[in-house]
Amino acid sequence: MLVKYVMSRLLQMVLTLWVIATVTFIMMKAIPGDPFSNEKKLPEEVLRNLYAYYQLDDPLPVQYVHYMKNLVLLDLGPSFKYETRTINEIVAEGFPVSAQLGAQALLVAVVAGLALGVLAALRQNRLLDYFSMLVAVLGISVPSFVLAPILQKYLGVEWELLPVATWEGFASTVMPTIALAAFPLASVTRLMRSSMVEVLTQDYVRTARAKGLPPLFVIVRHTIRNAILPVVTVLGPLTVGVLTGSFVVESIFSIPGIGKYFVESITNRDYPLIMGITLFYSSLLIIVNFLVDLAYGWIDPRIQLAKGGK
Amino acid sequence: MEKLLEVNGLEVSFQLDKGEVQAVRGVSFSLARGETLAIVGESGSGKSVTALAVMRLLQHPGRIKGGEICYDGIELTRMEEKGMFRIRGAEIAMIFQDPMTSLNPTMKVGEQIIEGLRWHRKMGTAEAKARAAEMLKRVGIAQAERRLEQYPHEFSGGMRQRVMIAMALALNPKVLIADEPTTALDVTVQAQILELMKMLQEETGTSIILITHDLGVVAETADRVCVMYGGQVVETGTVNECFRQARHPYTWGLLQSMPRLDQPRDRELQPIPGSPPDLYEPPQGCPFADRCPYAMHVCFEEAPPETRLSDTHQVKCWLEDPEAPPVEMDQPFAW
Amino acid sequence: MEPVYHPRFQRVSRSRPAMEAIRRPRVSYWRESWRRLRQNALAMAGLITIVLIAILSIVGPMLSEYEYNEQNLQTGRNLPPSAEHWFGTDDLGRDVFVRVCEGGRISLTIGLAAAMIDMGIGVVYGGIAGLRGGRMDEVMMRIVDVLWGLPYLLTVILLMVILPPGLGTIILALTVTGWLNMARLVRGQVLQLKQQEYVLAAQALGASTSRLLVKHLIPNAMGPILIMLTLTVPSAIFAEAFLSFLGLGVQAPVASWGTMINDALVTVLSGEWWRLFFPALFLCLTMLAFNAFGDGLRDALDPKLRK
Repeated sequence: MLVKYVMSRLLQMVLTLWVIATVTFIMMKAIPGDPFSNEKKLPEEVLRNLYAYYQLDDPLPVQYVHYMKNLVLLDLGPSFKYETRTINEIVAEGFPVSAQLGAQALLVAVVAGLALGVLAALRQNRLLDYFSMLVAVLGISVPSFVLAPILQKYLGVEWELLPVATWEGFASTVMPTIALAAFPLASVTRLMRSSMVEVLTQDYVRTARAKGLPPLFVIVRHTIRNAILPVVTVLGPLTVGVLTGSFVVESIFSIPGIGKYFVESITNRDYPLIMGITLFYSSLLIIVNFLVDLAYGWIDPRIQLAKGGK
Repeated sequence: MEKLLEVNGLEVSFQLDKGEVQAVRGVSFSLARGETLAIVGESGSGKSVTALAVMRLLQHPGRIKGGEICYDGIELTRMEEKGMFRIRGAEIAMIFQDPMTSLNPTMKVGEQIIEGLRWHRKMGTAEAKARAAEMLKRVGIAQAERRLEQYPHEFSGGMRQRVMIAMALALNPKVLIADEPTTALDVTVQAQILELMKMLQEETGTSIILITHDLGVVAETADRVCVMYGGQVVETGTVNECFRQARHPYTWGLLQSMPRLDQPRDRELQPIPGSPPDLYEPPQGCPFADRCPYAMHVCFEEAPPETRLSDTHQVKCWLEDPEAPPVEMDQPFAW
Repeated sequence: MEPVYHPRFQRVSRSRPAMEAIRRPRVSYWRESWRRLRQNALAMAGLITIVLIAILSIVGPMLSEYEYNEQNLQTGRNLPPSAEHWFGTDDLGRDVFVRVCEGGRISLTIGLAAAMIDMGIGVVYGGIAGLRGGRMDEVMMRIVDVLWGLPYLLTVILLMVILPPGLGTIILALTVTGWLNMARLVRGQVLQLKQQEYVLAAQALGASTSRLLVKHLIPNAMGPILIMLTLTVPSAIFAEAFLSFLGLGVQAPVASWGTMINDALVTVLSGEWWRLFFPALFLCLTMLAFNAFGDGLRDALDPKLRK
């Protein structure tokens, strides 16, 4: 049954990816004029690469098949702007940086968010609760592109605590990590608090207390364990948030990750690069979501994935 | 008989935004070793709150406002929370109404039985597991070792309640509080569970406080009965006294709203009209006066005193006053 | 002869209906919800803030003698806030106050329009899937599942890159996949309500489908729909600011909070704080207000919390 579920989910993933790839292809073709020849004068070499890659003289269906074949072979093609590099190379170069930043932010968000959420739920309507709710509200209302310049101004420029706009050593990762972690941190805090509050009123928690187990024991084994489940489900969307957030955070802090290239590609109207990165990130997110779903079914014994656990 | 648990003048209230709800208002009862006491009443009468107060499991905003709870010579209301960890589960155990929600859904059944044994008896895993399996067998669950490794959702409602009982009795508690243990179960399963509880009580000598609204269950299992209404005990006595010589109109109402085999079949069941009192502002007189067909002016003005009819039988009702008009239960409720 | 009792011990005669009378007044669901919402200070503060920002966005530009795109390159560049320019001026000498108001118009328009369109499509789509059920539902939800896999902001960015810039384009891009949430919610609600016993009971009593919809399904699904509507607005406003920040939103010289913040990034070093502060403040306040109001609405409409 599990195999069947995994298979159907895989099929759905492939379908989604196909939709993305096709839409991307159509968009490339739909861009007013020829994307490869208008606006900026492209260097001869780039133009040659592009023609070779897209076989622009062929009829559209042939181009489409060719394009899909390249995608299946994980070849994202050449870029406009960077004459000597393919999109694959750019992604390979930028991704480790983005991944480090993203992982750091996600880790901070999940660990601190869980802790704050748990403590807030245990201290309902007390100072700590109000504090964590304040963090949550601010994190959701202050976008990363507002938080980032504020951090730069105070931590970086005014008080000179942390380096601004470099990417060397751990200290330089602190501000971008905070800016990127704020939103997921707030989401996790809110979710964990409400989930904890709900679990605390469950009958089985009362049963555990009636057994005479000490409070810490009850909280760890019977409450937190169950309250974490809904948080696992949002790990997918949180990853999406961190990823899109990284576009602006990387540009603001001049971090040489995929996000910065992506924003530059938008400003330069470097269509192949935009499409390539979109495809790459979409696939990544779809896979992450799939893994999160599998993990959820594995953590919660009640969910039988085969029955389409949503 | 030796008193194992004595509750005296217990008062519990819930402080809500709108005001204070006085859920339990001066409840007293006692429990002897090996005896089964039934606490009967409709929902909202304060019976479950009383039980939770005895376990000191009241959740905020509920708290014990007055009275004492004496277990085996220890005063529980003034005990530190730390001390309660030794009492709960080990001395006084509790099972709850809904077996579907009372077990942790993400934890194996075995683990849930074992954790109590490990904490209270400091048993090793293997020993605790053996004891858990033994308990499952005793409550009539076949293939106990395999069942220990399963999750609650793999058990039926009746089986889960058996697990709850096994879990509660694994530590040989002296008192078992069962809060509506059969209400959520099918009728056929109800009988099995009651049978099981009776059998285990004979084997272990545990005292039981059985909380229920079902007089059928009381007749089958209890030795003595407390009838609760509006946060107070209105009548208490042996099963015989409360069933055959009931004196409180509320007890009569309960009896008449229950189908019985020893009555002519065409006898109409008589529901008690109205609804229980609002405990935000408890009535100053008898809580039942509003719904009582025999209510007199005095019933609304002053709380009735307790009348001792025998060593075991007490009732709080103005009809016991020598000045009151005589009323007998057996005349059907006349409206 | 009837015995005579002390008056205190005389029977009180009452009729049975009087005893059955319901003591607490019945409160309708919506009135009770409104009462709870009013008691929630944070939610009410949010509502008031939303109204104030809306009024300021509409009236603000009329109060000022400047136009949002009026430049003053000679003498008016990067002026700090003063009686003349309440929020100062930017690097092209444009009045920041007027531009912030102008940005508010755009943000609120986009937020409300996107939320309403999402709701319209979502309710119809999810409603049909849920009510019809069977094969129809299966196919419709498969489509949703496939689209659901698309990362929201990436899709929006992609669309914005291709489509000609403008307000309509932003709303279109935001709603292309934005309605999926609402469709899922509505379908879930309908399916859940269809199985509720009171709906079954109404069916058993011979209620027609249209009556069921009007009397049972819509009022009961309304709460969650309203909550989602309120929470869609801030996410749409955020998305617009995000796009404008990336240079994909409204095009210069039109002002948007996102573009203003992006243009003001240089001031972290140069120190014209007002250029960053005011658009950022209004963006955050608006998001905060909608989130607070949405949360309050959720608490107020959740019948599980009723006491």
